[in-house]
Amino acid sequence: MNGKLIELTVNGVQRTLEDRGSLLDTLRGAGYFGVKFGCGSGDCGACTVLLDGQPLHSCQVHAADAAGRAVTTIEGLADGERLHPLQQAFIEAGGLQCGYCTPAQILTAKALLDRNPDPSEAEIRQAMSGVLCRCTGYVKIVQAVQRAAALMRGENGGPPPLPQVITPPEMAPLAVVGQPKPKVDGAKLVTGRPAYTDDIRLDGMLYGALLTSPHAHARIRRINASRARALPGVHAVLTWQDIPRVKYCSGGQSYPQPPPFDQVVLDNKVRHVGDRVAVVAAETPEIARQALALIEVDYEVLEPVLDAEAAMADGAPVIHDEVDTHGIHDAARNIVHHIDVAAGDAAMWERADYIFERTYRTAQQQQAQIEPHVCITWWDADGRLVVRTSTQVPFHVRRILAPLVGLPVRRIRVVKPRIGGGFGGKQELVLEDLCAHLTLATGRPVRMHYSRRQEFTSARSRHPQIMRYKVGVTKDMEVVAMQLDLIGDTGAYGTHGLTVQMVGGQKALSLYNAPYSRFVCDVVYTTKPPPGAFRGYGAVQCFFGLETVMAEIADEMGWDVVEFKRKNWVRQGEELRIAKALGEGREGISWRATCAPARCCWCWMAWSTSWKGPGCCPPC
Amino acid sequence: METPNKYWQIDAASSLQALLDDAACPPLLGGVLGGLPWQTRNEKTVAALLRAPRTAPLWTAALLALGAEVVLEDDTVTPLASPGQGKGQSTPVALRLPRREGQRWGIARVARTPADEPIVAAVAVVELAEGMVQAARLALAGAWPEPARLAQAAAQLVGGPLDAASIAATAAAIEAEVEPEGDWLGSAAYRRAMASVLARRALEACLKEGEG
Repeated sequence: MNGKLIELTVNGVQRTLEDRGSLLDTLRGAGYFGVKFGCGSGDCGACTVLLDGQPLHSCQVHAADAAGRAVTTIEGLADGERLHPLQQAFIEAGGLQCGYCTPAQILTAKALLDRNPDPSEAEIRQAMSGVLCRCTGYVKIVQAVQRAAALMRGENGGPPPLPQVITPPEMAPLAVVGQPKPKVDGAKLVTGRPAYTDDIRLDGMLYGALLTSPHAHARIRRINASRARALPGVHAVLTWQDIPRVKYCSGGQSYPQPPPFDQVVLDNKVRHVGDRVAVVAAETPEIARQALALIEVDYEVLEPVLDAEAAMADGAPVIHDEVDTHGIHDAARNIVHHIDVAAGDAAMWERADYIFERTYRTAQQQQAQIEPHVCITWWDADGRLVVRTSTQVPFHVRRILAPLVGLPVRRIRVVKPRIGGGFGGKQELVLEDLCAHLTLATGRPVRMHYSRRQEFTSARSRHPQIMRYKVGVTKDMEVVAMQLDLIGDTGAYGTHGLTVQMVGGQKALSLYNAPYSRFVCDVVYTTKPPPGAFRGYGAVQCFFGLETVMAEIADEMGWDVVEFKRKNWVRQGEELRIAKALGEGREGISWRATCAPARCCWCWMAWSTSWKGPGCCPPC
Repeated sequence: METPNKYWQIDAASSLQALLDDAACPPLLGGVLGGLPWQTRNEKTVAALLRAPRTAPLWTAALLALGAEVVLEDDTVTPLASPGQGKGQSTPVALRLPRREGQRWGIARVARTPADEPIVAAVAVVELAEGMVQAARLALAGAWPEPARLAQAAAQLVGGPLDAASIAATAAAIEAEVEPEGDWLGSAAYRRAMASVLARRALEACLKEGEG
């Protein structure tokens, strides 16, 4: 904010607005929450507005350059309660899911139809290419624009192209279930009403900012925040010295959470580029950023480990050398979990006429939801800590957060507004604890959000995996034995590391459900940003390897690949042997995992979390 | 937009969308601009991209292949021989593209997605008279830190016919001329190999244009 005022016309109304730098910040600061922040670099298009009728990224335009010009935001399209044909068509065609990019899509489409009332599909796709959508896959968006164009030309648009719903043939038709219906909250989303976490501003709200590590692996020898604290407008600066050391695991999973609890809110060691170092709360985002620059950190830079296999090698740097983390399988070799489970008779290998072995690797991948992680915390009138956050797991957030801020869960209220995409990336405690600690320290509402860069370095992603498949087949195309040796790279922290890899193994070894299957898995620390949940939750990577090895076997044997798969795929009613062995449901109680010698999985979990557990194994 | 006979002159303050909307915009440039998001075309000016050629590498390569010239504040005209034109010198006020008869052009690119900026791209412009190459300009993006024109390889084409043999010889010479830097999108070796492949495809597009 520079204190200057600019005059412009917004949605046909002459306005004088406080210049907050970019047109995006200026409009949102004035309450036009239909303009969304997605990246701040002109790549995602979520902030699109029309300036003199032309679409552009409001994050890339200085507010001063819009002075005296006409800005159209999504709030200006509807005529009272009467929606613009484009807004109506987006609802009718199912052209929105999370709705976060929808205002930008509609505004861009409006500019297109103003220029060209009858665009071809190619012209629509080209015009809309500057606005990314991570939910719909664009087909329904194109249909919505085509429908609106037809209606605006005065043509009969025909029946609304709602998404088709495919139901099992034996299912009797029902009135609602199985029927295509417009979204019940469609009107809210196409008109840009404040539906998302960041679409409120509270009186006295401070802006939080996070200082992150520039090193993949380092120890903080000294940290001096005195200059940052002295900066006018700064209300709090927190480092590892200011927050109680409470161990936790950020993965949003059902209680009891799988160990290890290998994280603390702020630590004196950083384990990946983007790891947390300090947080600041200040009057404005600009002051908060200035304060971050004033924090002096003296790092002892340690050797990084960027490869999961190298991390397990003798002599590799130990990433979790702290004494207060329990439940790591082999901390000296950076192995968080080791699983070795088999189902069936290993003698099935003898029946195989051919044995194939193949190795596949998948890379780390970011969810890239358009709405970044954002969180606002405050005390309510009843003395409860309110956490308004863009999360997929509000109840897990409350449970995980409680011990970190020293409050019972009954004094924490987590509000989950509509989220602008998550895809698993928000199945985690990410910013909530930091934001809450700033509210605890200042007594004021605090807002924090990740930049798009921080989404890549400090949020979550998909686990990179190394898969070694060994498959035994007979000359009659029968898969008789299968083994998956999996190395899952969980980055700096365990989070979802165990469960994602377990799902991967369970799915991969169930699809063709060989009479004998074995799953051997190492979940490994590296000094990379920790992965977490992501659509498919481990199955995606392992299915890639599985389907590739099946195709390669068919190719090598000269078999029809579809016939080969058809002969072996799992049938309705079949028992999923490896799933049972891995502990799906009650059967797992008796499974003895090698992750903790002579202790079953449930007892091991109980030991690690102080849960009573089934008590079937000897005490530690 | 000024459109004198010998060249098409573009005001440096023009937005990219204004260029695309101009009927005189060369098809090669129109095709490149059409690949950029509409929002970007409205935000970016010619001057902004001259100052930051890496932000739109295919656009810069197209200008180089078209033989663009820059008109500076002091009325001097200088070839856009190397990108970064305008950095630390007189401010560009206009861009000139020569109008020439018998021009054929071709583009070939490799990118992670169709909408992505290219990892490597080649743009070829060839001028023919009576079947013989009078001038050839070949520009590459992704083969140097910034888009650049190939001097030696393209010169091989001049004076001879444009055919499969001459194209193959030119493409083969390219690997020796480029100096790519590897990054997460592609190693130096990959970029070097693709520079040759894509230059051949761009020149083949020029050949095909004549056949069509």
